Amino acid sequence: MLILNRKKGETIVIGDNIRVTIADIQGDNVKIGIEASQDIVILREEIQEAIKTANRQASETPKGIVDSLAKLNTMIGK
Amino acid sequence: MQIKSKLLGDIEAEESQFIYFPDGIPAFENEKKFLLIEMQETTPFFYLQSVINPNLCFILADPFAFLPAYQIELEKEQEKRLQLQDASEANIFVILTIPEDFRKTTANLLAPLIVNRTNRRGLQYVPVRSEYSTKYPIFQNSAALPDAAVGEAR
Repeated sequence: MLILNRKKGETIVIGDNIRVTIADIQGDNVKIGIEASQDIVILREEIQEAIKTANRQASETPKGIVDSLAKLNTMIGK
Repeated sequence: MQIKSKLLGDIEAEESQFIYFPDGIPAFENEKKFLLIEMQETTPFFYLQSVINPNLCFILADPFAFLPAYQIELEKEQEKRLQLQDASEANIFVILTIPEDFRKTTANLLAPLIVNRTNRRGLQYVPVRSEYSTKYPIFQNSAALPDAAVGEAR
């Protein structure tokens, strides 16, 4: 990992299209401004992990659920 | 062609019925082709069976069936990826997590699946900002559910 020292207001340029600016620093908290083209997905890592975890859990559907779902179909919504 | 599903058995389907997720689904990035199957007509539940992996079948729901006020705001990037011409082309589904106790079923409202039904492309949308959780209990009033139905879910 490349580690750079930056002060508030300073910027890092990544490639031609990404600029990362240290917008503010308050104690342990750093506010980061990111400028990138819209096709680049920018996510907080913990959100990305939460979604992967949720997807893994969702893929482990217990057996026998199919019949129950059919019965409950009539009980929710329409 | 025949699709094998651990949950549903063998399914006969045409390539033209598949839904293509160009980026896969997070944690299942290699799964790009799925078959979307309505559980029953007029019900809000669906299966999303992987074409290549018999063990991978998500259970989806129409979020508006249990949360009519549900809202998501697509960004241009997602519209571009799905080649959406109009919002009306988009179908929105949420992935359910169904535990042994069926009453504790939760829906991932944070990251819904968006499917362009015109070109059959889909993605899981992760908004940068959202008030929704990955574990929204869909049976808020679970006391109203009969024990019989719950028992058979085990």
